[in-house]
Amino acid sequence: MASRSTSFWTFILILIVLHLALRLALGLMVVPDLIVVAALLGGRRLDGWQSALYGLVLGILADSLALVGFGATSVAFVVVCYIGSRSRNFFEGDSYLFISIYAILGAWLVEVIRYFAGGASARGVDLGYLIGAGLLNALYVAAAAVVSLIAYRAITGHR
Amino acid sequence: MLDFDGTRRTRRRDAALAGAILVLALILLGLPDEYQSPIRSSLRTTVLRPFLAAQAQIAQRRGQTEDVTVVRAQRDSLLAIVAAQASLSEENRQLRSALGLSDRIAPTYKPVNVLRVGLTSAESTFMIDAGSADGVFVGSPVLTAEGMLGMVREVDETTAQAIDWTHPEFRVSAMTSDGAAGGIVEPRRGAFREEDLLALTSTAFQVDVRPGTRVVSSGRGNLFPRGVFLGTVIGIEEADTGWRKSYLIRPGVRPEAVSHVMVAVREGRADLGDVFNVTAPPDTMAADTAAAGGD
Repeated sequence: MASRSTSFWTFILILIVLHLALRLALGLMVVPDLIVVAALLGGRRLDGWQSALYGLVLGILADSLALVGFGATSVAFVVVCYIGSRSRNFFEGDSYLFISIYAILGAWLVEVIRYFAGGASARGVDLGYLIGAGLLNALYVAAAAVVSLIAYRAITGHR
Repeated sequence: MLDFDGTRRTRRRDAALAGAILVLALILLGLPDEYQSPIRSSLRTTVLRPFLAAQAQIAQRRGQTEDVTVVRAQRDSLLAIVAAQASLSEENRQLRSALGLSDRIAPTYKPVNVLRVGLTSAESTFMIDAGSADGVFVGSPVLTAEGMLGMVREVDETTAQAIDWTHPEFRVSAMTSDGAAGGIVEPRRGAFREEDLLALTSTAFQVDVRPGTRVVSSGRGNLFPRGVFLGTVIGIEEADTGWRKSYLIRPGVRPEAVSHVMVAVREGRADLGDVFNVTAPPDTMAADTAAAGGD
């Protein structure tokens, strides 16, 4: 049987490939941003700087087709992954309720950092976006994080 | 003092390394476009390549299953237009010949498939399944039968990434179809993306443009061809007292509805001498070489 670490990172890899396959190969915008899910869940499993580096790599991949604000997602993921890693010092929980709250806050923070770092306000995007669409996106990502974690735990039996 | 994660020193080193990575991310964000572009290009041609190739295949298959009756109706309409203008083009050819003019220099267009990019950060952009190998260049206008869609921003060998008119950096020099007013067309973001509009800005204050007026590209700057339909004026947006006016335009093309487009391609016509009836200069080096060989 695969070790806990191997199965978890295989799960993260599947999330990333699934994200690219659904959004890039099939062009489905309706699919939740699984790369944010991968960043949030993976970031909590690594130590501080490794988590930040993981966020940087994922951010560059997420920004690979960004003609404006290239690097904004990298900044967001570095911050969120590092905070996610440090959060283990304060919250040990891995219940679905905790993961839901963590994913909502994390995904919303990604939206906030992307908004400001990517110059969305200069492009005419209203600040209300963060309260409306931004928060809805965060809820959608959190739901996807919980569902994918349920699937992972059901298949591997790991927590 | 110890905590469960290691010593305080380890934690400080950890935070310093994470800080350095954050600085690296900020540098990446602040890099000029000419340095960011190769990074994007290398990702597109490596990691993203299989996914883009898969979508290109899907788009090609989708094109093969299009409703034949629609295509036939479009062909019939086109045939009617060509037949009606046949005498006009012959007249034009004769006049050009009488004046000693060559054919009009116009870009050549290639039909391509649109590849939808579902990544959040790639909003207002799309890919096309043609690249530098097909003659696509940075700045190539992308047109549809209904009018202007956008322009190419980055080109790889077999694909290219383009922005549509909703992109914040999209600009085109435009005029009303009667030529009475001119200005710059730029996007205006709506509350929802479906509500995005265009605006004709910087038009002369004394000229009044009525709702329903058609706006086309003016061809100034030689980036977009002249006369490409952009949209229809729906009303005044702003009147900067005594200086200029801007008008809101309902665009002719909705980016989300497009699956096939025409992109301008270069055909390697670098020497324009034949256009101006200039003969090639004598090859003095070849003459000298021949003379030296003769000695």
